Amino acid sequence: MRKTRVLVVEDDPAVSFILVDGLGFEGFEVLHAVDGLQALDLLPWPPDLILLDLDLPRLDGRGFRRAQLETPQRDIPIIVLSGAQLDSVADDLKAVAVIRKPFAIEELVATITAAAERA
Amino acid sequence: MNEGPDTEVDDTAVRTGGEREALPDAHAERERRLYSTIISSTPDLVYVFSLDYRFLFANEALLRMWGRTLEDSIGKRLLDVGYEPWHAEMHEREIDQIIATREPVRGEVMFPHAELGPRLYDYIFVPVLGPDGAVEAIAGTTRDVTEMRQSEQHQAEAWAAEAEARQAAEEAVRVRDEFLSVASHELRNPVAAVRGAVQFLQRMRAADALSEERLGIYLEHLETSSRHLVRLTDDLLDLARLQHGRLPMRFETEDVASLVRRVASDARWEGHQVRLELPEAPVEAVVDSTRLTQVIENLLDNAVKFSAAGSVVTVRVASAADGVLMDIKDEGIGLGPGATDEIFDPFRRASNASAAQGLGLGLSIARQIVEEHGGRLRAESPGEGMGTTMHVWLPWRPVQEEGA
Repeated sequence: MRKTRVLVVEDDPAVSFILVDGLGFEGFEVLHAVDGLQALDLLPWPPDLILLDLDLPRLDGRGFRRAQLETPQRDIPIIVLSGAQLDSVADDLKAVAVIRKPFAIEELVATITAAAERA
Repeated sequence: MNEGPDTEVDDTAVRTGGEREALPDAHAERERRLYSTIISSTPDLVYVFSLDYRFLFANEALLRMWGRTLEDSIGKRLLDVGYEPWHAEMHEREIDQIIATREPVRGEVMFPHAELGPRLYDYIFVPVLGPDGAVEAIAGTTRDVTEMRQSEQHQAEAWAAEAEARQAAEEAVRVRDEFLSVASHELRNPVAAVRGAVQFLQRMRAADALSEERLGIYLEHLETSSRHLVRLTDDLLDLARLQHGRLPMRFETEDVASLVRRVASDARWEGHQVRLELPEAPVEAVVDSTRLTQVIENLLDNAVKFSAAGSVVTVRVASAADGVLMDIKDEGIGLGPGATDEIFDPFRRASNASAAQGLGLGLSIARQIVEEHGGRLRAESPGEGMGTTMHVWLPWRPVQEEGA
């Protein structure tokens, strides 16, 4: 069975390392972008799911999502992972789930797995 | 029509003409007494104009305002009883208008009262219509609204002041909420890293998949993130203490130039070219060296954060007659007009700095520490994109504030 490919879009170096290495250990194939522009560049290697931070340099999470919806990869689901207040974010960005930092690994893994299966 | 000079007091003009003959004399007399009492006792000014602008009637209040007698006023035009030409002209044109339109005219005007001085009056002129429907005279009443308008104005001013205060309070709450949201966001990243690292390490160990090498990398990240958390927490604590004016200081004689040298040698600034312009002789002042180190760190941190990697940051220290001067100059994003003060507000950052990491407390903490020494810290920039210079002045020894 092919591994689920997750694109992690996150600018904090420590959080990025932990997500990339930890999700790799959990059995996912992980791509990493430090901002929205890099994430757009990686879309042609389509992930099954995008784990998106909102506060990013150059192109932030919202800007990335808007741009992504204009690409052939518009149907790739996103999970928002942010430290910000996330009351209306899920609807605004049509995210399948919203997880607030700090996160519980089991919840994160379960959410990614469920979203990837649905997609 | 009632043409020509009319010097008699013709009080029929204020009544409806046709009924007069029908009233019995006693009744008419009684009515006249009634109206006369009302009109002569009201504080409002009551008067009647003929169609050629002459006063047919003026009540006691009006005569008192003019400082004239009835005999001396009836049959006179406005100009004759002391109105200024512009004012007489204005009312006569209003009378023309009422005759033409049969509609009342209302206005407000200043007039010097004979006893009270300049007062503001609200007046209304109404047509008195004859049985044929034509205008036969113009009746007027005027009220002194000086006090009313003044109290309205005071009320409006009070409301405006209240609205302004409320707006300022709302703005302060908004700015603080925004800060709290940024602070919470900033704290959540290192906490997420720590918590995430610990959870993954546990799962890896449980699966017997934790190599020494991997453990080493995780520990490094744990160390970095927890140090970051300590720095954020210290800043928040300093802010809380500074806001209550309780930052304990320990003053001793120190060479400010060597403090600068020590801070500048830190690996944190390696991405930039930090140049020092220091005098050869020590620059000794009485300072809290820990806190002053924090000032230099915060200013350098700020310079580095808002300028391109590899650019030059210059730190200059010099002795002046009244104390130590320290300038920290960068080639960074600079400051727009008005931002040179705003950046020292703990809950704000300049509009061109909004994307920066951190709590943005460094400058306000630095300024507070400098001021605890009795010194001054200010920012200077030729404009956005043109770099910023921070100027610090410290007296040779701290100036004790009253009650300190």
